[in-house]
Amino acid sequence: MTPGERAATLMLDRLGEIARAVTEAMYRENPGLLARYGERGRAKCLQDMRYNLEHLAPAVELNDPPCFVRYIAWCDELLRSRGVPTRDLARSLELMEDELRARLAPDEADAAMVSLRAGLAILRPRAAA
Amino acid sequence: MTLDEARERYLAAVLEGSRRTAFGVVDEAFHAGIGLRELYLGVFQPAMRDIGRLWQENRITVADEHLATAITQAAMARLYDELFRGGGAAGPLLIAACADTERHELGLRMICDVLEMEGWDTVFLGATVPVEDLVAMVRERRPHVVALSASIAPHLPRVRATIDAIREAMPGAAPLIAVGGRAFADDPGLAERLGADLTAADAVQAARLLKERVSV
Repeated sequence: MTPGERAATLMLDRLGEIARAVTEAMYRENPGLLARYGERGRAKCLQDMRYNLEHLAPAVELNDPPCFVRYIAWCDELLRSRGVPTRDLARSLELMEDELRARLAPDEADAAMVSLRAGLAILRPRAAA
Repeated sequence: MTLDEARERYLAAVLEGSRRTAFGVVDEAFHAGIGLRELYLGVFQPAMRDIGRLWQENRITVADEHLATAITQAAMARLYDELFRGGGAAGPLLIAACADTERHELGLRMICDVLEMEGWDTVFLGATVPVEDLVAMVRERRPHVVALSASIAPHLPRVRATIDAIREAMPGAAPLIAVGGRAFADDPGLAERLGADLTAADAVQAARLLKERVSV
């Protein structure tokens, strides 16, 4: 298996655990989120982190960053129409990077970061706008 | 009734969730001389694209979208007497399946129906067909084309695995493999990177490309 395939396998095997860790980190560093979105928002956030991982994994497995970039562009539009700002999505990807680095071997993490960072790259100008 | 009117009124009917009204629009359009192909390409396909966009923009819910899909599937099925009238010619065979756990099957079904109108013989297997069962059927029935669809990226690795499995099971004798669906939109190179022979953005393009590639 390639590093990307190994990374994708781990992401999907430990999907729930990684999604929870990212969600907890989001809410820990920004308690305002709980005030703004409530418990229901936290549950939605957890589900969204699962979707993000489910979409990141194939991009990493197939070594196809555009595949994740298209999803992120779509996802950002979808979330903004539901009142979630781009900066929250961008921050969740940064925190996901930390959680993945903590669990993946260096070569696997590098393979994963190519797609993850390509997704982040299109969000940063949108978040600044 | 013009095609534009039919599309607008059909979309309004499915948004309202009224199967009765939607069927009425289809019947009226058909009697006004709008053919099957135009109904598919000018009414059902654009209406369902609009439904997807409205959901993305948070203007309708998942329940609304599922209801619209169910109504459109029923509206298509009502036209099958018309579509399959006359026994049909033994045109080239196409086997169509959604990739593994993919559940968005309407688009692929539309492709199959449009190809039927063009004289193809299509076998639509729909969603969640195990890869090995699909491969077994392809080996047995020897279609000219296998068409696979995926709406979202998580299904892409299974598309590649399915393509690999077909090619491995039939070395040198594999059918033409076509892929499509939302996951392939906006990325013309993806189909080839997954090992497919071709892709198409919609039913019209699919019918045209397949006609060029398959000579019988």
